[in-house]
Amino acid sequence: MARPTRHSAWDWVIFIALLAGVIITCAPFAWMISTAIKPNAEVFRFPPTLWVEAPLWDNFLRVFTVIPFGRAFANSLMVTGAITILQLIVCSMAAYAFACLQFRGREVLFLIYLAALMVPSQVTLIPNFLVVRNLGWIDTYQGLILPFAFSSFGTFLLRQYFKTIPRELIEASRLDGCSHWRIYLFIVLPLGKPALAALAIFAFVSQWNNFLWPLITTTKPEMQTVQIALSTLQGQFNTDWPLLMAGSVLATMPVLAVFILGNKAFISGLTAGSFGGK
Amino acid sequence: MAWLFLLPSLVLFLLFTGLPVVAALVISFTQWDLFNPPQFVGLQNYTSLFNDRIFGQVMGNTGLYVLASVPIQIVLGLLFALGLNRVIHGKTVLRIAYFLPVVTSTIAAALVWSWLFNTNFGVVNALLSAVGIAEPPKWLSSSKWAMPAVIIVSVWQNLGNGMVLFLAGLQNIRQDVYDAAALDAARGWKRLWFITLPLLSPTTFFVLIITLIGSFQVFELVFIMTNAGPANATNTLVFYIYQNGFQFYQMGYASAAAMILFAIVLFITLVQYRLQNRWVHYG
Amino acid sequence: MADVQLSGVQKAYEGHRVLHGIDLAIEDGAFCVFVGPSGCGKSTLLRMIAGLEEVTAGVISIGGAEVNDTDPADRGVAMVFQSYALYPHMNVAENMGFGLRMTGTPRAEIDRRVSAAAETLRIGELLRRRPAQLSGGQRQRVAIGRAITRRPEVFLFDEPLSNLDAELRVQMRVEIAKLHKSLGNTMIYVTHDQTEAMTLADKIVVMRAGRVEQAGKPLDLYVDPDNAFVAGFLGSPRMNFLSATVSNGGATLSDGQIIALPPLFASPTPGTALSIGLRPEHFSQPSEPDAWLDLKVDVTEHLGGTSFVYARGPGGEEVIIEQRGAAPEQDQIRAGFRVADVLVFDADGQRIR
Ligand SMILES: Nc1ncnc2c1ncn2[C@@H]1O[C@H](COP(=O)(O)OP(=O)(O)OP(=O)(O)O)[C@@H](O)[C@H]1O
Ligand SMILES: [Mg+2]
Repeated sequence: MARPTRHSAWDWVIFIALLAGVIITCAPFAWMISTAIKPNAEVFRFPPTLWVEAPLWDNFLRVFTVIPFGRAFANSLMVTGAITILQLIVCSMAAYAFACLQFRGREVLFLIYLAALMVPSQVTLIPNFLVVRNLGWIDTYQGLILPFAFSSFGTFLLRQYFKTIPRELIEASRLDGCSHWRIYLFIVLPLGKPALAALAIFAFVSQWNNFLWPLITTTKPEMQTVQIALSTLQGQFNTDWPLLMAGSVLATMPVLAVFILGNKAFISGLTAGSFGGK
Repeated sequence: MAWLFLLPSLVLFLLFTGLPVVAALVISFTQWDLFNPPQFVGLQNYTSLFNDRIFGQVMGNTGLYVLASVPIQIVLGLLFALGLNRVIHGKTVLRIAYFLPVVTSTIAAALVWSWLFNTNFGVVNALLSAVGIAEPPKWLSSSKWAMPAVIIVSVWQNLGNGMVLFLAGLQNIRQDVYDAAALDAARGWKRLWFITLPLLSPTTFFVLIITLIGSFQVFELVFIMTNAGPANATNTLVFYIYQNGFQFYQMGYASAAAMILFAIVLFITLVQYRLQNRWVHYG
Repeated sequence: MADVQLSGVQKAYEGHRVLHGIDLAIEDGAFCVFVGPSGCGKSTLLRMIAGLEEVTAGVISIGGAEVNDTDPADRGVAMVFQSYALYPHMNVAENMGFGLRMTGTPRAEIDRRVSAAAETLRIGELLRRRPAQLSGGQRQRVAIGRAITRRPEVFLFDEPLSNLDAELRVQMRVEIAKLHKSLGNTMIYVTHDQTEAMTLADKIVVMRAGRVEQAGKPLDLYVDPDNAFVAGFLGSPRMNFLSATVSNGGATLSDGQIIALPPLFASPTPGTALSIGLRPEHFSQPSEPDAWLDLKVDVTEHLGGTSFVYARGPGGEEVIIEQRGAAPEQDQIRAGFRVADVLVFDADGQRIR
């Protein structure tokens, strides 16, 4: 604001409200960590305390022994990583075609891809389950990965960004004899890095947290992802709160780390979606 | 040439989005338990849904959840964005803090909140009794309070989403328009009402749509916190789809419910696009 | 109607000073133009008068009253922005009447004043349109209309024409001049364009790096600048400067040629370095030249009525001279001027009179 306003009383109200907001947003995280390191004697104490007198780190290890959490963690990394990489490839190729190439039916196809954004994933859940089941892909990595390898949102995000690359740059490389593959690989992808980063973080975060799909397409414990493992932990130990909280902390950490490191790119992707989406 | 670039996306799109949408519609006209071949039953699934007492309750719950959580999310998101927009130092840190719940897995969030809402040892009730409420609610095990608890958690989790979008929208409003408004004696509330809110309306429109659509799809919170209980008090549309499809193996019935979700989402989108000219101002 | 007085006005952004004590008196009804190179603080000064920027030190008064702490809306000023800053969600009539509406003026009065302003600016048929449906020139008119509707004591313009094409600029310039004539308000106008400055202003304020270099009537500044910066800033093509040293007979140029100097109050001591200023038009057929320069010609530009010869002076300085009619193509030229036209500056660029 160019003109410093003089309602300093208001500024205090706002400051306190924002601070209260932050406390309410972050308190559950604090509580999650605090409970995870509490010995049982402290857990069931009333009134509950945030401060832990005798922190106990065992729970983090116990998570790995009572259920195959390590395996689930590896599965999640594997599945989320693969989906992220595949989305980057598939979406960027499609976005390149939509942003930089001329072909018949371009606008129509793009509209169809966009319309897919309006289809709730639960609508395609049952048919997709049937497809994966008939392919014999229940309890396989491909069954967990491939249905998410393409994203309309990602294509849209990248196409908007690729469109801002100056046409002359692409035309000049055409004149220099570059094939479309070379232009895609050596010009558009390097220039599109910010948007690719946004999509990568976006895909990672949302796929790490994906729940319903792995819930219905995995039956064996060794194929479960972290979120599923966490939910089975609840089923088996529903009063062992320190254990559940330790599992939650572990399941949340990778995605919080990725988000905090890449929050700029993430939020720019999110807002680009909104301003382009109008 | 272009089609080579499009090939991977086209295959995946057709296989996992295009055909399934059509298939979902077709399956919704059948009776199918996965073990016996599907039988065409026409509109029977839809008529039974309308006569299904639990489905009525499910729609009521979903409606209540949407009507309560969406306005709260939007109003609070807007207020926090307006506040945050005035902050000069530490904006990034605050924004990250508010956004943390959004990126947290809903499963973990639901687990923590189940603990916080624990009737005897939870923090929420500890705070309530600290302020003198003698008999705090039994939250997740009470059919009256379970839904409010789910709504509170959903607001906590999704508030940051709208807020970040509103903040970006606010930062998109040009300073010179505010300067002109200052000279035109529009300050404080007047400026908010006549300048900021109208110019923010495209963002508000977008946030409203995605929040509405997102909240019709609530599932994980219910799955973990209440398992749709007690006595279906928190059973919602997507949970009901899941339950029928993957617990009762009624693929046709579940698909019909999914088509109703689809219809609701389409309807909201279309109505909003129709209405937007009345109150959305694009610059 | 009101005059504007600035005394010792300073501005600092986070300790970094961008205006270093501006003293200025703008009379009631004057048309005052701020010019100066980019970043010299023109907009900042204007926005401080409007109340959009806080005053770090000094006093601004409008109509005799100090306004340092007065709200922008209560200063009796209206501003036309370079980007127009129209409200995109309101139509033209609403844009123009918004300020009145905010101060609780009755509907009928607003309508009356909006249509009066629309008539003055000939935008009556645009009143129901949104800014997005207007051309650049039309938007400009609406922005001016919005200012007029509020009947301010002082109009402020920040480069209002810089987003228009050349033809429209000239047209709007004339309209602004007419407007000033018919309204008679005090107007303060920021521009980069010295034609705008010279044609519109009663008073020009030349600024550089947060300081006023000189303020006065356009022709006074042009003919009688205080320093080499003002002399060089006003006039196109710009003034030629030749380096010289004081000698007994006058000034010695770098090739040894001695030219006479006009009579000066304080003759500098021989040996001091000088700079000699001559405008291109001083070479165009002076009635009785009493001094000459021998120049090496680089290029000649023929504009029809006149020609500009781009040449090198005795010390290799670039010298531009104007010639009436078609100048003959030649490698060397002997250009005549009158000693009385010469401006003399000391080594720091200050004028020696
Ligand atoms: N908000 C700000 N924060 C810090 N410095 C600023 C700010 N606004 C302006 N400045 C600095 O103040 C100086 C004067 O800026 P101002 O905009 O007044 O220049 P100007 O004369 O209008 O230039 P132009 O002709 O390019 O519009 C510049 O050096 C600029 O960098
Ligand atoms: Mg400026």
